[in-house]
Amino acid sequence: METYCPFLKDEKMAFCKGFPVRKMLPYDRLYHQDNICIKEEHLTCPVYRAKDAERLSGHSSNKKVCPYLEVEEVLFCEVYPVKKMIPSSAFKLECPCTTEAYIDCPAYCQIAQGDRASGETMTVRGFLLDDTVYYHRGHLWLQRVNGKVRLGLDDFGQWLLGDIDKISFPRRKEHVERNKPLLRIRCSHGTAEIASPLSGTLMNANEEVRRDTSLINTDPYGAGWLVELRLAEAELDRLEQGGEGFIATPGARRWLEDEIDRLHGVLETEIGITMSDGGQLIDTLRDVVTQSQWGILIKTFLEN
Amino acid sequence: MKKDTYIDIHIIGEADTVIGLREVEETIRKEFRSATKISRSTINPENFYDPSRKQYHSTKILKEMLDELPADASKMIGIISHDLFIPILTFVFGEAQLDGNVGIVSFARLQQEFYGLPPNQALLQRRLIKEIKHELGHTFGLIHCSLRECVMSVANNIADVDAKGSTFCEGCNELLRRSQKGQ
Repeated sequence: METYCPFLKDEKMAFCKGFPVRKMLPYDRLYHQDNICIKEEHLTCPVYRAKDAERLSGHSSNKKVCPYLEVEEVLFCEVYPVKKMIPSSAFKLECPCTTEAYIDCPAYCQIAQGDRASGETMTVRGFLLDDTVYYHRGHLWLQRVNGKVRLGLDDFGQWLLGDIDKISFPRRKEHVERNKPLLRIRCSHGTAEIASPLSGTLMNANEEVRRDTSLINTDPYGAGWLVELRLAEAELDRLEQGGEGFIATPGARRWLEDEIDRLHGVLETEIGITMSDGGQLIDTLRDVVTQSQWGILIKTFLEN
Repeated sequence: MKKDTYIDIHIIGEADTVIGLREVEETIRKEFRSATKISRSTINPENFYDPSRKQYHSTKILKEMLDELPADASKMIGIISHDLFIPILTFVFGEAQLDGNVGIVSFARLQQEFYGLPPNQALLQRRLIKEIKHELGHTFGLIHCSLRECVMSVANNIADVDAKGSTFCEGCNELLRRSQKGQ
């Protein structure tokens, strides 16, 4: 699959290797501007003359093109405000421009998907995605806050649950184990048991959310946060170094798109798996899925 | 792909009075390296109208199309003028069986008139061709592509349809050819 950013451009550039500063000029422009570097007049160029004088042999060039004219192929981002040139020979390392991670590049997003600067909430097929938090495959977000790690449901997760009747948390100072129950969420279609993505001590539960569960639906990354855990160093490393189950922020957009596509496979129709183009997911899933379908969705996306 | 099979272009309702079928046929022949035939459906879309959504249930129409799939056709692509939906989405431009036989495209929302703009036949045709390629791509097992220039990239709205490319990217094209060889 082609993984290069579509805004990555290559161009042949010319520069004078005799001049102390490398000033790049598009190769084609040399001809359009009738530049002396490509004519015999290069013999009159002060840089050429100075360089020529340094030569031990002392004889002048008899070529029409200046021998100090160098041509190099460079790569650059077409949309970044400053054109930073990189020689193509040095461009073998993996970087966002040459991997699928380019879709999360702020410059690419701004042009291809509308205005979005890094560090802001963006929308992926109608779902909010905050790129300042870590994500876990169980549709939880995590963020370091005052020495603790705050945790909540992501926008897709709250949409799957729908209206929430009641949420139960462990007691304060209680130790929670990774992959063991953390949250019990009762909804109209059933109850979801959400496991903790990390081991730690529960320091705070959001009492506002306990009183008004609609905050989870209306402000999942803000007032709808759920609990705060104190983690041991090893668990923090697991979070920050992308341990199993965590999605690195640059890949979150792609992960969420794949999750939305995966919905079609889970909600298999009577003619098998179908895929479609167009539209946004509807506001209330509850009205279009049966209780058993809802259970399958929760097990697949939130309880995995 | 087996010889002597073809892709059936299935007209549901009066779709052919609005769109140019010759260009559709040419595109399918070229992109999918397959013969084509045009057939007229006996499906009555009104049987699949959902009054609460004021739209037509796409998956149910696809199910009916399977009954109309000729034995010698490899795939069938339905073209319909009615506004389609699937339960979890607000609307669909089209839907298809993944690695299956049938797909459908609605041009209701591909028309400029839907957005209160003057008609533009050439634009409608370009959009329709993209969506036909996209849905037929699904029937060959292709999933959504992350490259915006690929016709298999997802479109949530008409701007996305216009922004995406009209051809398969190198990767999707390779998968398409492999899928065709296996059939």
